[in-house]
Amino acid sequence: MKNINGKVLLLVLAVFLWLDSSSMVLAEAPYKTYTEDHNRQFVRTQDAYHPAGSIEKVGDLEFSGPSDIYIDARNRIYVADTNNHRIVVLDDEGQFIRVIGEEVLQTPVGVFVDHQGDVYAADSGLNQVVKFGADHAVKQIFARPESPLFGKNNPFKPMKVTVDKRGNVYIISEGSTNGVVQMSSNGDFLGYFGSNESKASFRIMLERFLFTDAQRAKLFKNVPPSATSIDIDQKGLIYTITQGDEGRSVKRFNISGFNLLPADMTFHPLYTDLFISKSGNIYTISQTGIIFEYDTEGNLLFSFGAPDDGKSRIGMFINAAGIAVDAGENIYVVDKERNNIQIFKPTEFTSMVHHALELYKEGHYVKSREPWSQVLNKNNLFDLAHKGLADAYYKQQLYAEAIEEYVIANDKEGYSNAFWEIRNRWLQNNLIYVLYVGIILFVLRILVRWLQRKTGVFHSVIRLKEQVFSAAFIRHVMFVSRFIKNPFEGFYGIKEERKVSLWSATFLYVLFFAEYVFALYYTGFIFNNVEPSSLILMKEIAKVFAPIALWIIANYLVSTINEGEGKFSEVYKGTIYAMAPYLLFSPIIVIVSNVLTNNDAFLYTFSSNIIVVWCAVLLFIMVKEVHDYTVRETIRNILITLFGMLILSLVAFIVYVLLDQVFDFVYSVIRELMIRAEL
Amino acid sequence: MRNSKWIKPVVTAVIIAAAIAIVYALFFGNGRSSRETGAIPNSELQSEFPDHEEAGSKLSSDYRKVAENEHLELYLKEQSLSIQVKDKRSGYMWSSEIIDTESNESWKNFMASGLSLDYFEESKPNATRTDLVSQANKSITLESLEKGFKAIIRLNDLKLGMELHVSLEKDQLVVRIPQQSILEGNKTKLGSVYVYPFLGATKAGEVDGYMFIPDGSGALIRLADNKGKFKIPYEAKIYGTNEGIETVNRDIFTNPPLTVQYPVFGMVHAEGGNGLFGIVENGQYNAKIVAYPNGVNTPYNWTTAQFLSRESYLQPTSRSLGGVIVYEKARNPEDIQIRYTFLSGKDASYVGMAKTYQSYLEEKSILVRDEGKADTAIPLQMDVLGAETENGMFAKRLIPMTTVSQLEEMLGDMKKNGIGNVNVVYKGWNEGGYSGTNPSPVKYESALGSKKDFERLAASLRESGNPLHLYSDFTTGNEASKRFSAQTDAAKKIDKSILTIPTYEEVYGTIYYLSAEATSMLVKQNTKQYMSQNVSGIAVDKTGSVLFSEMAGKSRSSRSQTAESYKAAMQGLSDAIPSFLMYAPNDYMLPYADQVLDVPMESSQYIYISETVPFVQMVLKGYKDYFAPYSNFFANPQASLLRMIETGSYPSYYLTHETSYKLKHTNSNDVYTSAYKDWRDSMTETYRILDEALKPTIGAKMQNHERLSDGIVKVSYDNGVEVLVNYTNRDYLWEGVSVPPKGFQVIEVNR
Repeated sequence: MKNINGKVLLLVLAVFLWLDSSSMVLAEAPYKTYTEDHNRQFVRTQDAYHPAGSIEKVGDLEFSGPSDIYIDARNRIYVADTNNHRIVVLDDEGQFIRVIGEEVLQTPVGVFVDHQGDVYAADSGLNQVVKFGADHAVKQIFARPESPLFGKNNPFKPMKVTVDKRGNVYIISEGSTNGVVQMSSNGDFLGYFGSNESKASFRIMLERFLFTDAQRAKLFKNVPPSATSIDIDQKGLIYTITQGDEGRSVKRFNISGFNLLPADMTFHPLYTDLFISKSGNIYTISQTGIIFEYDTEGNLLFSFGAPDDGKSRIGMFINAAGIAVDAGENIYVVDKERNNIQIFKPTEFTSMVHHALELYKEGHYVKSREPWSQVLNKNNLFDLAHKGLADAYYKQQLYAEAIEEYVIANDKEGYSNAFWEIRNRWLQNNLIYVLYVGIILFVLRILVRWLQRKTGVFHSVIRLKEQVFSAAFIRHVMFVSRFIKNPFEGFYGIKEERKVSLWSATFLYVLFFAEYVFALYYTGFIFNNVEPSSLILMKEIAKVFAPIALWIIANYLVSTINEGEGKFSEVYKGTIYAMAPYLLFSPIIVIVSNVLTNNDAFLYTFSSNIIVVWCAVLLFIMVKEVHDYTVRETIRNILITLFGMLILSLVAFIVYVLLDQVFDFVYSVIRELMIRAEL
Repeated sequence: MRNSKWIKPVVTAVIIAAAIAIVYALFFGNGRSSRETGAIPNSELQSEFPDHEEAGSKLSSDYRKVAENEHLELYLKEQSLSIQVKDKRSGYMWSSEIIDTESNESWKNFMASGLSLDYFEESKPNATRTDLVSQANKSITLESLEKGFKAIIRLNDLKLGMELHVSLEKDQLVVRIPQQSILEGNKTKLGSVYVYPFLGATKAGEVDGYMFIPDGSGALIRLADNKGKFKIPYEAKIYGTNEGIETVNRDIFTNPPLTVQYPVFGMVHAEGGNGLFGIVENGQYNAKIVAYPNGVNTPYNWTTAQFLSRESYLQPTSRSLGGVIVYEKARNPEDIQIRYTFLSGKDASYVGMAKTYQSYLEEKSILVRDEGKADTAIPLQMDVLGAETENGMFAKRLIPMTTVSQLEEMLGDMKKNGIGNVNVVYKGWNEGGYSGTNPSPVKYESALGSKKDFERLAASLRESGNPLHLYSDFTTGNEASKRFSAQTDAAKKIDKSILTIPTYEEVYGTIYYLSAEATSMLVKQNTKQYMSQNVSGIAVDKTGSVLFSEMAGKSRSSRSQTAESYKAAMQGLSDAIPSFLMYAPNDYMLPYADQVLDVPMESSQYIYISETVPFVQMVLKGYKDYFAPYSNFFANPQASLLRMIETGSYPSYYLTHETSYKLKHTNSNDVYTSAYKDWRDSMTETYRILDEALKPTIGAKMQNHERLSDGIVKVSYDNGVEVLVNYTNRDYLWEGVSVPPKGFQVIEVNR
């Protein structure tokens, strides 16, 4: 007898239920998943995709060194089964459909299916791209172009291939530094497309500048890296991925071959393949098995996957070669070494992110507000969600809330816009009161002066003021203002009239540092790129005072052998007094920067630059006056000083390295002795 | 004194003399310690291992019955010491020997031998494997025991010897190698031992069934023909990596595999047919659970425990990574003992194994039956983060995340929402906050509330039935703590370097492990302080799950010694504190933990694992309350909820009052969601559902766990309750009961 008293419960927990997973998808992923913050730093997040099994075999066929995978519009999976000389086609459940090109292909390393269902195989053995028609027979062959434009000696070794809607074929040829080979549908060479740029490092520039022609010819040719893989999105834009091109590894080209993606994307040095999903998200895989998913703007959504740790866990790779994504956003990755395909299913969390992103991308900012805040509930550190939410608030004219989110997402432009609105509103409401306050203050001042003249009630205050200002130390410190009005007189005062003391100079150095710290903390959000928690006192002190100390020492030493008159103490004092513009005006700029927006940003940058230039000029005058140089001597002295600073720091570095080596050596000897003694 | 030329030679001479003295002292000083404990004088060796002996000839190569009881019969083949065990109930014959003609010589011999071992030779970093069959020059002396036999083994070429004791106890077979019986010469040293590794082994897919491995909550490896799909066997040290010897690779992309917390393994030949369940009773602290699916080296499926006597390690000789690979000088001091239980009929399954293990633990009074209070709601575990620290310009900056009054507010709100039975663990309650303070002072952080506030909170919680638990960790140490000094308190690795663990975090980059001695001291001191402050609940992290060997002074302290010292410390603490919780404790900590937190519901996702089973939960259910890992971080909250229902796990959350964004620049930056306001609704709902599903099972034991079809699980309890869980997207109909998609159904069967 069974008595049923349990209740049927519909779970209302998760809002997103369209995950069609009949089999149990629940696993502790063996890898950690990250997203990135506004500084492109990794931040932990929930698992985005879970390993959902693998395809080891298709029917009785085994893979051998599969190196590419593609999924067409009908959700069929095409695998370039390289060492078995064929393309294997399976359905979305991993069941065998057919084999293509078994008699034809030699080393198929790339596979693509166009919108008509024609299959293209890039064969690096045949040096051809072979096109198979609907009957799976060879329809066309794209061989090495005869055109002189292609280049007489350029090799043609197709690695990857993609085709646009018009039938133009884009081929990545191994080692092709000119870019992607573009051919028309009937096999004519159209030109090179979207080449990478070679990097001009400082050393190369220096070598170019200094070397003779003969020497330059001997140098290793600085060629741009060639792309590793290629894909095309729904709109027909071509994407390439390149190994070792740092933040520019992934590129989206417009028709003229211009890269539309940011140049500072998070990257992996060993990229092997990429895939553009239907929604336009970019999926990349690296040889070691790290999978990245970017949104259409090149922001990293998720990083997951891991290199095999020798323990044979699923979701890890030995040599990942190709990636593809199906309509259900499941990711398929082929592993050349493990000879299998691993499948990853999006988790509930990822579906939520994708949903929010979809709305956001289509401009439904307000509609995306709810999904974004759900994502944030699940992960407070998801900066993209903060930005999405901020945009939604902005659209709804909730500027104060928007500002809060923009600050977290570090979106300066959004912040500026929202702040402009708030400032504008404030000004509209309060401008009149500001005027009143100004007028009242002005009247008050007149009143006070009048009172003083008439009655002298403020005598004691004035006397106190005079007393304070006549104290030697205060006088010395206040002397700094002289450098604004007349720097020559100022430096004369230092040198000949003892208008300043070592104590006052030291005080100003401390003040200088205090103002520097003040600027770090209180510069307005738009102009501030400092993470307060990353500030460490000793580091900041070193950052400020190491160059100053180096300057003072180097300048003094250089001057003593260069007939400079200045004493060490004079250089010490002069240097900080030359910073007068910074000391006097920097705090004002910092305060003002808090009420500026991007529209009036020039006020900030302009005045900051003026301060720097002004200080430099004063420093120049300082050297000239203190050492009593001519202009020419001064320039020479400053250059030598700079050179001296370089040498000094180099010497310090070398001494450090040597000492480290000596320590290492002694340590090793002792360690070895102890161990040998024990064994 | 103008002529000072004489100084130079004198100084040189002095320096050289000093150098020689130092080197000599080093040699001499360590020379003594290098004389190893347990080494045998040559004369004795001579008599134990005669150079020539007419060995083997008198040993029979046929199986003969050596013992019998009401359940089992034991047969022995003297030549290779391999055995066969007949289960009288079913007549099923288990064999430790596989006669194989296809494999290479070394595997063939390995499969035929009852005992195999690895040994180290001087100045060879890698161990060599050998076995009884391969060693021709040996002597085996047999003596019979009451219910079994004792074999004295002498391998004359290697000068290695040991005794093997095998005996029957009811339906169990006990295999033992006493530590004292092990003899080693001066040249070769024992590395590791396998006893009856092929007991219960099967070929490819010939026998239906599975191997059971204690990975995570428990996992099965089906005995199907893999056709060479798998290349790497399952090999996992019991209680995880020993960081006193091995360096753990902690890269930022990989989660380490779950550790083996229960020293068991098993093999089932046809579910409902016959099964074999091994418990490693002795030597588990230095042993590996090994399971080879077919296709890895041999076409056989076999699982066993490998006992490690010595391990090799890298002895660094420079500050960079250079060094030499050497092996441990001292042998691990534990006896070796496996208890095999033979299962048949319904018990021949992972459920039967769990029950066997449960009653084994009950017999040893490690587990005590807890019927539970009827009509109470299920408990919810709530870890609350008090304070954390981030870097500041002048000093570390304290970030209060949940003050006492905020916590009281949260608890009040939860009560209003129907969550009354809450286990509160306060993390970061101590002065200085959560990270970087360990061993932390027993002193409340004043930014969270005054001592009075804390006491008020504790009193009100105590009244409601669950005391306030203060989070503590007696294993890790930080240099920032006033109670810790790396030089004196930190554990030292086998290579004598200090055991440090990088955190890769920006605030505190390194943590240390306390030496076992420092841990004992600390626990003693803290216990006193807890008592004087009237603390009634403690939750211990790390100490229950982390285990390592160390160099204590000049001698090596094995993991078993560390475990003993931890056990003593926890015993004292749990006696003094009324409510004692532990995070993911290893089996030897079970007697002390009142409730068990963070019990994994998953396995490590090895490719050969075909199914994850709730073995651990089946053992614990009805004995101890256990909680799932934090629900905050589940990527599939819905599926995880179902999993909690399936495994009978109570929920736990990691919460703060403030938004977790504030933790971004702290060591807790992996806590990316924790704000109470973010979790309030979802937690209430989850709790409501779980209470509905699990309340009827409070205090009951799990009777059965079966997969009805793909994604449908039925769990039966001994009080007549059955819980059906449906992971699929379709309705499931079972004997007239409908289970909604992604839902569950509780059925009460009247008896």
